Amino acid sequence: MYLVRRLPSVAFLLVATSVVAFALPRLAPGDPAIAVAGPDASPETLELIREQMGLNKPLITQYLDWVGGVLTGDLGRSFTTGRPVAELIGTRVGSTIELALIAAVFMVGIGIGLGVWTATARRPAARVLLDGLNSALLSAPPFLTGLLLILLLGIAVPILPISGEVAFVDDPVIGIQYLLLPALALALPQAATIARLVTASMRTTEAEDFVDLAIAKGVSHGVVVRTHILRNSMGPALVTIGLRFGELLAGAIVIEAIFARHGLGSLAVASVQTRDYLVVQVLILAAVTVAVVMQILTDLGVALLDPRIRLGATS
Amino acid sequence: MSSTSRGSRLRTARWARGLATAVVAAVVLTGCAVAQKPAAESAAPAAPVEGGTLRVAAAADAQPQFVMANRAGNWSWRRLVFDSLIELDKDATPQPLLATDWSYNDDRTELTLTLRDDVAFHSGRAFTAADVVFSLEQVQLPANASQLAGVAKGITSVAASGDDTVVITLAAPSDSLFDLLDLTPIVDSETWGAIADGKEVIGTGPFTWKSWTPGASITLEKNAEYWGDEGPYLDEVDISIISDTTALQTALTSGAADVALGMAQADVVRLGKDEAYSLLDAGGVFYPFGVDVTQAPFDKPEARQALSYAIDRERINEQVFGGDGVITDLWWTPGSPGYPTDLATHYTYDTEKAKSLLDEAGAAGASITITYANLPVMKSLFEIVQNNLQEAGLEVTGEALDLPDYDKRQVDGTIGQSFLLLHGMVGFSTATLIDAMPSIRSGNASHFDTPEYTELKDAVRGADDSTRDAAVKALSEYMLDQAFSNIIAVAPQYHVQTSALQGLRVVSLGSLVATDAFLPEK
Repeated sequence: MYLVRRLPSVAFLLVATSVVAFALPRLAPGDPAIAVAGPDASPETLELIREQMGLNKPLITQYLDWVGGVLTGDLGRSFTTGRPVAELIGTRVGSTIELALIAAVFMVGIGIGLGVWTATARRPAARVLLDGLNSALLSAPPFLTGLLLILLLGIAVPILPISGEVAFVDDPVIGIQYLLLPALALALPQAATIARLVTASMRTTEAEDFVDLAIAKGVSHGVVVRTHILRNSMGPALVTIGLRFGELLAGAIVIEAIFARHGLGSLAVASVQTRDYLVVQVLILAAVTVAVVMQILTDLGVALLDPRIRLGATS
Repeated sequence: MSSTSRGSRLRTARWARGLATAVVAAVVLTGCAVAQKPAAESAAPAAPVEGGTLRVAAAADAQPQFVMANRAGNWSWRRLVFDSLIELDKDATPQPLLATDWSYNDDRTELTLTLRDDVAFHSGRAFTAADVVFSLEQVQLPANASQLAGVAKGITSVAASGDDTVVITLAAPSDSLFDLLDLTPIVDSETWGAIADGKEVIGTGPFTWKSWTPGASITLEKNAEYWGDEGPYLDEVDISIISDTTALQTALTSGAADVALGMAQADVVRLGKDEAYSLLDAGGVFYPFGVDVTQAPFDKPEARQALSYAIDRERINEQVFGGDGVITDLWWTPGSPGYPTDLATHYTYDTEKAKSLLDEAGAAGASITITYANLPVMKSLFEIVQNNLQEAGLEVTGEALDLPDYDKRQVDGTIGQSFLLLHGMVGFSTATLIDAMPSIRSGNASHFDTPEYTELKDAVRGADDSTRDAAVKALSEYMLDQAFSNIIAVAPQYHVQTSALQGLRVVSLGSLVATDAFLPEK
């Protein structure tokens, strides 16, 4: 029922996104024909290429052609490579999913672990140290963390590869080595955000009466933390994890470039640089769709964690 | 036993478990199989070694649909998969490839080429004169975007005479014909129509096209049936597309690549000083400072000449190119046939002379805007030019444009009052450059075009060994006098390879040739 109620707003959002995705690359200065053939191509060549790309048609025709294609499963052809957009994305999506999943595991593991550790640390020095570590991770952007990891574990102590990739499904042992550093660089800042939220939430929950009651009844500290405090503190963290997963995908753009990985992030950058409109349009549309799906999954997850929340309830 | 000491022991045990887990994970990850490989350091062996995979890191992706053109994305593979009829050596003298012999008629309007008879395409089909006819027809088509399409259009007919002889007839003698034959790959007419998506790329070269993942990688395999007497020695060539300059140099220095194309100038300079790497001369780039002659104050030749006197080219060479560039005022490939060396430093750095010419043109204290691409090299050039022109009394502001916008405005002829451009065309002959270089060709961004200019260019196009020097000199003098485009630097361009790699060459304005390349035995 909840999903049915969400459908109209999701449909409206996707239509609006398709308009924005179509308009955005065209608003940027530049000409796809020149980006493809180079500035030293003759005007005759450029005109011919524009015609081949369909850029001479009215904008509304171009939009309707594209939307019609998307609805029938034809995402169009890339201006720069001549390959179907679906094929281009298909060859890259595996790399980004691998990176995002491993980064998500790091993000959740490190985020919750660090958050719980900080919230339960009893020594003041340990709290200060963990808070400081959290702040440092929070303030370091992924590209900086990535470059530091390259310098440390790729060049100074070269134990992990820092350039390229091997698909995890092809060779898990080598593939995971290529994934460790980029995933860690991508996950650490997001993990710090989750850790901070978990810490704050746990400290608030710790002051609740039911926690005091549990302690008074003689429940062990570990059980109180796990069952009473942590479970009741995970709601806000879960919402953040859902949102941060989207940011992991955004961060992959920079991380893929630094570690020479060929995922959707590097495809997006190359497509924007070469004004490959059809690829950019589909990537924007796909990014919004992923965000919408993550939002819905997060809502469902929160409802699962907290029985007091009923999705779609009006009061 | 106190609860405190028991808690302490438990904490110690937890730390120990964590540490052990980390150690086991590290051993598993790095011990089973190691992805990180050290950069090759061994010295070159004397004899070629068979086998191995050449790993190329290239900044730009392939553009199979523009294989007829000189495009940076095709440098890594074009001359590995395709052969040309001839190859121009360092002195611009044609050397045989698919054509073994050639001769002109008396008035140089007819060139007869004899072809090899032992060549086959990767598909197995025999190479014949009909393929030469087809390839030269393709290069004339605008859709194939060759910079030499104009030269090709001067060809009135290409006729096959038997399987191994081709006769090219020209409307007028052309001093660019061998540039065209050098740059143009011989393509397979049967698969040419489907080359654009790169799924089937068929040539006659030493390596066959196996696969291309756009934006990611290209794989080439040894052509065991190659017609050459020796080579190829390598089994495979793996090309990784790495557009980020930091990641590109990391790929080379971490041992993930044997050669890198398109590295940042600063990285090239740094690695060039390291014995573990060597530089491959890959042509170079002309950096002209152009002005729009239809806009004041540059509608007066004196104001344009003042710019040329005002610019300190030696400082540009030292500060931007580490002293590795060529200080010249000319638009031609340094040392190319007909190059008028005596005119190369026609404009010396002379601020007082610049000031007096600006006075003469009534342009003293004028405000000008210089448009340039938002690239590190261009920004450095702009800063020096701005400083120089301010010393000469001009008010200078800059307009940095995103590359697509910059390219579009350059092509549209709306780039602005004055502008810094760049053309990676060092290596072309003068006769080719006058029609290929956007700064000086017809329809240039300066909007400069006069009957005298056209006449002088015609003389260069039709020059031969006996008239070339005089024709290029007369054109150069005229262009220096008109000063609508001022060359401020001619910078070399390099690919960087590990010193262990042997036999790799660069031709045709940057393309790799790996027929004789080999790697040391592991």
